[in-house]
Amino acid sequence: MKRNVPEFAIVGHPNEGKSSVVSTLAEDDSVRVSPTPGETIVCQTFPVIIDGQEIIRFTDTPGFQNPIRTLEWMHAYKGSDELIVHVFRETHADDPEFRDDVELFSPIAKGAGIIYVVDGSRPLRKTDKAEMEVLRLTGRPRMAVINCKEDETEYIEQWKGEFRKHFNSVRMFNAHRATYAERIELLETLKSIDQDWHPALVQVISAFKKDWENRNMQTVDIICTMLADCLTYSVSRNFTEKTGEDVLRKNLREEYSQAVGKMEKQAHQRIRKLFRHNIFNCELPAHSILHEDLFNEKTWQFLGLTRGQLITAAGLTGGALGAALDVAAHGLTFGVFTAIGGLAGAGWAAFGGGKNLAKAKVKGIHLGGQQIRVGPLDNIQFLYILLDRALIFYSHIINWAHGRRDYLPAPVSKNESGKAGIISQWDDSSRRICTAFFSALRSSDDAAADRARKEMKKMLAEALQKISTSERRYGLVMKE
Amino acid sequence: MNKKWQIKDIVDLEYFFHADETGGEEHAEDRLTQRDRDIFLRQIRPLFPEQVSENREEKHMRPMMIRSWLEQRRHLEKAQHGPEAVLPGDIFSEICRFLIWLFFMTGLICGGGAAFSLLRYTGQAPLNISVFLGWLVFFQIFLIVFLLLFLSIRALTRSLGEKSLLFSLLSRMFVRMMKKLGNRAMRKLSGHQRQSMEAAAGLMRGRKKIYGSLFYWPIFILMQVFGTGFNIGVLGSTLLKVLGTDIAFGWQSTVQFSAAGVYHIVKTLALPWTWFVPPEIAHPSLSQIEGSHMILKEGIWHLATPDLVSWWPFLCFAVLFYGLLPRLLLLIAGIAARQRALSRLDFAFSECDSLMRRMKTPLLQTEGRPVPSEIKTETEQEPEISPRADIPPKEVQEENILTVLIPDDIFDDCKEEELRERIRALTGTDFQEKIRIGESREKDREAIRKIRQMQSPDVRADVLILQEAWQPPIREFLVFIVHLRQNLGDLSRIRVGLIGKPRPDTVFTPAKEEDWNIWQQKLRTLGDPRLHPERLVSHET
Repeated sequence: MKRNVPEFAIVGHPNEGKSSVVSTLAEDDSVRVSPTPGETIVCQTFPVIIDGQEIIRFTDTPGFQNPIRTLEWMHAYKGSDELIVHVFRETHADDPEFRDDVELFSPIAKGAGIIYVVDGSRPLRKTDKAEMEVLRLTGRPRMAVINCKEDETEYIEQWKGEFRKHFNSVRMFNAHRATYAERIELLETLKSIDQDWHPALVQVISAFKKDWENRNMQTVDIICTMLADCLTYSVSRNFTEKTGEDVLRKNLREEYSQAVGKMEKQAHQRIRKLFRHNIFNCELPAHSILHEDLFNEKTWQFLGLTRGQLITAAGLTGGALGAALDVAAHGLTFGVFTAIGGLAGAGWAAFGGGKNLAKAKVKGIHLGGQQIRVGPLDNIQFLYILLDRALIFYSHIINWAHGRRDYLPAPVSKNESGKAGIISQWDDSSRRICTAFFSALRSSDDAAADRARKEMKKMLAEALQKISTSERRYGLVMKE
Repeated sequence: MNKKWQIKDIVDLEYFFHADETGGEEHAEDRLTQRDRDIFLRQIRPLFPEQVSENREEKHMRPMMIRSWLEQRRHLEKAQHGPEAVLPGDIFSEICRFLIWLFFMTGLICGGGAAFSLLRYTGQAPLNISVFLGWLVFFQIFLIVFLLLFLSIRALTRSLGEKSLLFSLLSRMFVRMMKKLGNRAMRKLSGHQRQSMEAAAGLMRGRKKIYGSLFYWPIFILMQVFGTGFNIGVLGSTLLKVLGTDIAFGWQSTVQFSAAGVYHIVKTLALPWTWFVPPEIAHPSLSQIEGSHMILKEGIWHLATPDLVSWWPFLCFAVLFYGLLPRLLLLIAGIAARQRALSRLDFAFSECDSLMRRMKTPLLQTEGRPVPSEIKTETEQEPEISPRADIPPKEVQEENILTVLIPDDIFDDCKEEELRERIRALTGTDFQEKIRIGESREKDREAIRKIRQMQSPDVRADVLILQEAWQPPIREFLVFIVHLRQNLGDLSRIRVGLIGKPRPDTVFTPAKEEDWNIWQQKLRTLGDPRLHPERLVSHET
């Protein structure tokens, strides 16, 4: 059984990003990726197990340590071509200098296909040519992957030219792209190197796609639930003359924002877990807007819809100007006041800005005193902010393979609209769905709420899929 | 494998869905995924070998697949909690059975009682048939017409049924009974299970938007069972009364109906059964109607007994055709509607979506693990390659010559002038010769021999190897240095002049700091005191 499992050995010069390629292919963040060359000293396999059955296997190998000597040995070798790798390993088994080379040939000796990884941002050297020739002499099916560790592209043609002599196919590995998209593309290319492996790869690709879709759907569920929870949350307390209304009001507001923040955080943690950050403590990119709190000025400045869009959004619901004013007027609290006030300038004041986001309401006489309530927040911008943050979080999470490496993308400053999020680029129909979802949360019409939620889920699923295949990095803002 | 859905299955389904709620706990979710995929692969896929392919989900397959899943879940539940484990669906059907009997018996008793009391005959005056007809036939016809009207309005608006007072009252009663009856069974269950049980019980009220009118029909059926029982009771007790006692029926009216008018009405009413029942039984004849007309002022002595008893078959037929049969038809219609509502369920709500997803998504594991190597390496540490020399270095000789070794890759790009300048800046001396290395090992050995020949007791041969720092220090290179050292002896100074990535105009670019560190570390492992990395180009230049 085991013999039939197609295996791909990821080989190359030390420190060319082999482990990055493996971790992308296998989606496993336990791969040790280190800037120190020679970090990998033993082979590590990454079996792809579908329904308990191993379908294919990727093997991370140590880098070549003696390419020229190996090539010389191979040129001098006189035996049968099929046995060349076996004999090489036997001959050098006890030579400590060849420890890594012997190890790296072990999957190839067992019949593995070869994925040769190079750093395309550096010039081609003799040792590389020797390695390619060595790999050619093994007679195994092989493809080359060009992984540009730096932004230089002047050597790529040189590499490609050389690769054409030695490899069945060549692929650029794009570290800036989302892990998922890159994985699927890599696997697709693998199909071309040997027909025998085609069915297994087709199965793996389909399983990966389904698995991803499934995780996206779960993410959508988490996001929708979080939105509904946060947007309908409120806290209320009774108060008497003694308690002091102002103090209570302030405390409640504090309590409210903490509780909502916690709900959001929990949802993010659940999303994180879906994408297998078990070992690696995934950290957000340094420039991520998510470093700011939910109710922080910056968050409200960079995420959500622009003021113009907000008013259109209100118009979409049919509320026309009245609703627009309403939406606009509720835009502040927790320091957001200054942010948006500053942003909108005089126009803002005309809208009568200055009311609180989560209005503290005196709800009426209760036995033993009056009741005061904070929330639920009836500002649609809050939905967009939560949504933006969730989507940005998702985009960070699915890019984990690169986030922890030295592929630091340049932080993008906010776009023309003044926003750095995803939502502000959505079209009217998407925003209409958000608006319907938002109002459905408050209505008692079960059927409408169900419909709105379904629509929302469908739209979010599409959005996640788009982010999955996008090269853009979202939610990064320049630190001032 | 074509099991039909029943309401008890829906109840169990809800129970299991609730039990599966994990609150987002990661391991719990993994467990569910594992379990459901397992159920799918082992139990469901073999049942639909051709239709169920991994990539296709036909709409009509979904109810069947979920039904099979439910079956498996029940097995699992029974396996886990023993065969006596009670599922809410069982409790539901038990209650249904019980209620059907209860309603039927109640109907029977009510009907029987009503007929008995309406047929109380003391012999003083014949019983007025309009009272009997009014209560037991016309009123029932009115109720049925009302019900049909209600159903048609409901069919038009779809929402009335959900807000029906009767429905909500009855369903509340139903839920309460379910809880009460289930309580004994539930005592053994865990808290979470008990909650799931209650969730399943609450489903009739809470999940209308998903199941639509589904839970309306059991109540509807119960009502019809009651009606059926009622009419059987009426018929039974009427027949009993007629057989066991003597009853005289007559008719009276203040309005001066003619006997012919009454006959016309009676004949019309009897239309449903006149076609197969002989006319003398089907309804009283005109003369019999005339003969049973009571006018209390005139007394009843002149009424003839055959005329007075001629009414009873007509009354029985009226109850049968206007009371019992419509109820039976409605009962059948109710059962059919329930089946239709069940077969119409598309199971497209989110829990089912998640379930289908769990079943249809292949389980993926891609966790890395080390390969057990067949060829044993004794240690995990760096194999030792250290130069031979233990001899303490002697005094530095006065005269030395410097040879520069340049890798083949950059030899041609290395401009002599610039090289000289760089080396002079670094060492303060000029180099004697530059040699190409890395073409082949044979040529490298030759180069080493050549440098050794330059040495004499008075002249020390120093070496500077030009090296691109971005290339990681591989063993091959280190071995070359070791050979060099072995050939030159311990006194020669070996420098590794590190440079960065070449530019189009020059190969002399500064090495990156991290590359520099790596080289420094690696060279140090050789333990050679006269081996040094050097920055051939500093960052400032």
